[in-house]
Amino acid sequence: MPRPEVRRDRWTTRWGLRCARLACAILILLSPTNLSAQYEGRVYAITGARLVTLAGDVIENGTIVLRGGLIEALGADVTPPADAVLIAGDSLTVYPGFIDAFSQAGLVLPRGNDREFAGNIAHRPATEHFRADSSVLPEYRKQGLTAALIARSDGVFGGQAVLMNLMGADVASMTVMAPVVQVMGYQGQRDYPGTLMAVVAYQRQTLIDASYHDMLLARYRQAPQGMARPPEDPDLEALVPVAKGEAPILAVVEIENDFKRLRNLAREHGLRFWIAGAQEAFRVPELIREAGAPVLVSMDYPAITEVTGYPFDRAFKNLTDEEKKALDERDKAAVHGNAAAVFQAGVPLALATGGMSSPDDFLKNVRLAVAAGLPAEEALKALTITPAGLFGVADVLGTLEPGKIANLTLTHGDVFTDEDAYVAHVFVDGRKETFEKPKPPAAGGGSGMAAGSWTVSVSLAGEATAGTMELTQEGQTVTGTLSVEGQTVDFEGTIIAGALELTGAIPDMGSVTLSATIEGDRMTGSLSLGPMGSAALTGTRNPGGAASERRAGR
Amino acid sequence: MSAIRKSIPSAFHALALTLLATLAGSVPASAQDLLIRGGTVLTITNGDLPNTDVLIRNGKIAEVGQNLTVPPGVRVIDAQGRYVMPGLLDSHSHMGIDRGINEGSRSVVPEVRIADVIKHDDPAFFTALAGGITTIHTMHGSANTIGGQNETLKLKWGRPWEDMIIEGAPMTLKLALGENVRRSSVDDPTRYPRSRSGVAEVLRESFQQARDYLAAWEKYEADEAAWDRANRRSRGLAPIPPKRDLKLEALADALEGRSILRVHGYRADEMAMVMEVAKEFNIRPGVFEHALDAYKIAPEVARNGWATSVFADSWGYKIEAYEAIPYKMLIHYEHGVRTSINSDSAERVRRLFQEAARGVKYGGLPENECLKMITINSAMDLGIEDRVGSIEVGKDGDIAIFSHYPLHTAARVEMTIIEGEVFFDRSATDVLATWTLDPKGGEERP
Repeated sequence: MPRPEVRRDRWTTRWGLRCARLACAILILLSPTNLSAQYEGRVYAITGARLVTLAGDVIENGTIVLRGGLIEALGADVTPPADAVLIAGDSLTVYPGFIDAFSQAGLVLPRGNDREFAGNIAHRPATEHFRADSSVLPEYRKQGLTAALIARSDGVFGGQAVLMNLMGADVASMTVMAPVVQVMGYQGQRDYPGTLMAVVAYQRQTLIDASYHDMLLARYRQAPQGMARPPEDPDLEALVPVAKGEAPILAVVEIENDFKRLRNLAREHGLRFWIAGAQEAFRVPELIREAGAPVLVSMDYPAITEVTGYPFDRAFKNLTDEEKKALDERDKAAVHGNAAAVFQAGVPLALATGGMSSPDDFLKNVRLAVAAGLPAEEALKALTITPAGLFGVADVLGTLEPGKIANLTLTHGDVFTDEDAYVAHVFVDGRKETFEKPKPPAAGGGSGMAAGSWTVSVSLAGEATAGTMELTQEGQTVTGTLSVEGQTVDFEGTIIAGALELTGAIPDMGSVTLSATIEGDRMTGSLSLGPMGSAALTGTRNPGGAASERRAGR
Repeated sequence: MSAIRKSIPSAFHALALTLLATLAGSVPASAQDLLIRGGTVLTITNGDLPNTDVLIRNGKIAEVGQNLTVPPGVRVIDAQGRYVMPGLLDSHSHMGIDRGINEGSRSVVPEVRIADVIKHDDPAFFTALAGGITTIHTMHGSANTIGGQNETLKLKWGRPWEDMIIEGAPMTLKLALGENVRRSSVDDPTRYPRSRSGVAEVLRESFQQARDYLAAWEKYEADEAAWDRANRRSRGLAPIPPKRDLKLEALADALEGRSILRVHGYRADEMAMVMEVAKEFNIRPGVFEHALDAYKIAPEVARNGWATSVFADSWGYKIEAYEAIPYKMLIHYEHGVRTSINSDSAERVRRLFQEAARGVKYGGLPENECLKMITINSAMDLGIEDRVGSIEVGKDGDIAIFSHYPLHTAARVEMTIIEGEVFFDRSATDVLATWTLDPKGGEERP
């Protein structure tokens, strides 16, 4: 196959400049002294968009201006400033950036033999184990999630939950509010407490210990002479406001009986609580109504066979297939109706990924919740103003208003009701990320087939750029091109058992290698740029021929 | 209607109407009313009554007699040709416990409570109902010298766990001796004790700590009372209370007679040791679990007021179990040691009546004594003999209806009733259905 001519001069200049710019950006981002560089310096104006501000009426045809990581202005009559990058928003809906109200995004907890004791680690923030460069964060952003309450899920008193923005250079600059709330769970530890029954006993005793410690400290401050000095215990001290009922605790509950364990503990010790996870809230609506506690509902839907009470109507019953099917349908509807049940209980509702194995189905599951009775406008509030209010950040997040943090979720279509709707962009601290429209599965192709036209996204240092690849294949030999921002480079290499290995060359920069795995019509891998490091690469095979997608915002 | 009921005068009015209705013999039937007609009633405590009716009203046994009048609206169950006995009790079980039955990380954990972790949709509850079981005592395992606080449950399948708890049933505390405790420490180098003498030491040390704890609180209360009376200007700061310790509180409950010790033990010398420790600390006699060699010291067990809860005829499955004999139930009976037969198993619980029949096989124990071992004796183990374990007026309407005499090889349970409600009905059950029970549910190495 004849190779297309490489347009050396333009490639060299543009790619080189681009790399240099990225390198500078990385250096600046890594520099702890340059605070202003933590946030996107660029000015954006999204024009002609539908602005769902949640702070007044929807603006059907408005403009919103972002500067220095903040919302500068918005309205129907706002004129984009001269220095703004314009984004045509005529098919976009702009929401306040969605908040994941209970999340393990970016948390990498030590496992196996390295697992930490997390019985009472109340003075430690979850962000100890947060990775700003975690490869999962883009998956959360793709669901429109721009901030998340990060909480450990491996503890009993598992430390402080922290509200993080989900894109940025490092933990410090991504932190929005720390700490937000103490977290309590039911996870057995490697040592005592190992079983659930011991966890509950440990919760009781620890709350007693915290109150007692507080009393001793107060006494010691009052009259230290003649009294044994109370030992330092930052974890007990951190729990004192919880034990005294002054601060709520965020309890991670899952099954029906977890709710009752929590309620009973709260009654015994006078606790205030929030509920997170809450997969079986629909089984205890009265308890939730009476508790009046906010519920951060996970969009993890348990299999109906796992739900408490599954055997009650079925075990050893004489049931016809139709009856069994009707029971299954009833239970599935109840599981999907979980968030609606919480809303109907009249308590504050927020939505969350916590407990999901991956965030990829988040919006899909939100749609199922809406289809099962949660009003779409309530789903939106549960992703924006409700969690912002709960977490004490209503002055900076949760609505679109001038002066607030430039966290925005921009969608094509109504992501709460329409399966074909998708998140087109997010802004986090004024930094933009763009997503391609998800492709329906293509006919043909399949695992291990590289040939075809691909839409790819290359992201380096948190900045994603869209591009295309055209690949042809003979046996295991693959040749083709990668085009990014109008620049093209040639590659050749192999595909063996779904593993794609290509090499190419950028003049004056040396070799570039592309390694990716192809499963069906999806490609995930990396692009190694020599001294520039490595860029993440994801791709989707176009259904037929080269796509001519409108590249929104560019 | 509900608004009317809420007002107090109307409530009195309603009460008066109810009383009138009672006098007129026309109380409206409730879901907990039943008349079981014409069976052979095995009362356990008052002989066997042929062709007798049992009337249950509001969950309690209201009348036992022949040709009782059916109150209007009350469901009648025909038990002619069948045997009607009190619902069976399993005095030692580990069913329906969520996420672990042994807190083995430490050897003394009396602060843990089974009541916190009941898994009320364990299908083993239903298969136990099919064996006529109405009450179980579900327990911490035997890995620890002092395990946790056990729970007594009615198997009200389909109900929340709170409905299953028997209000007012005494607290029971699990202790364990011998191999299980020892081997749990061998696996964990940080854990003590690792010998039988170590187990004795841990028991004494723990109860002594509980004594000291009670003494510290007594001292504090005296100090505080004195401080209250003292001159407000010169008395200084209030005394500092001891810290509440839930572990020591649970042990103090045992010291003060509020809980019943349930002591897993195999060897006679160890059981003798526990009886001595209990005397030293003035702890009320409890129950030995399994108690394989208790027959060797039956007079001493009886004299000290302890009871036993045993397997009918399991033995030889570990070194401690080699000297057990199936005649032990007879020997216990002859020496006046109260004995119950337990399952310790989600499988064996389904046929506890067959286990009881082994008492007849080995030494010819009287049939009613065998039945006591799965009813009233178990109820006495649990301190709930005033509520369950026999068919007597005023007791809970917990009934198992058998096809044949319960110790007959062909006997099977046709219906199981708890507090006047039918929770198992063989005619409405697909007994051949396959339903996966948790393969490890409720089991531990005995």
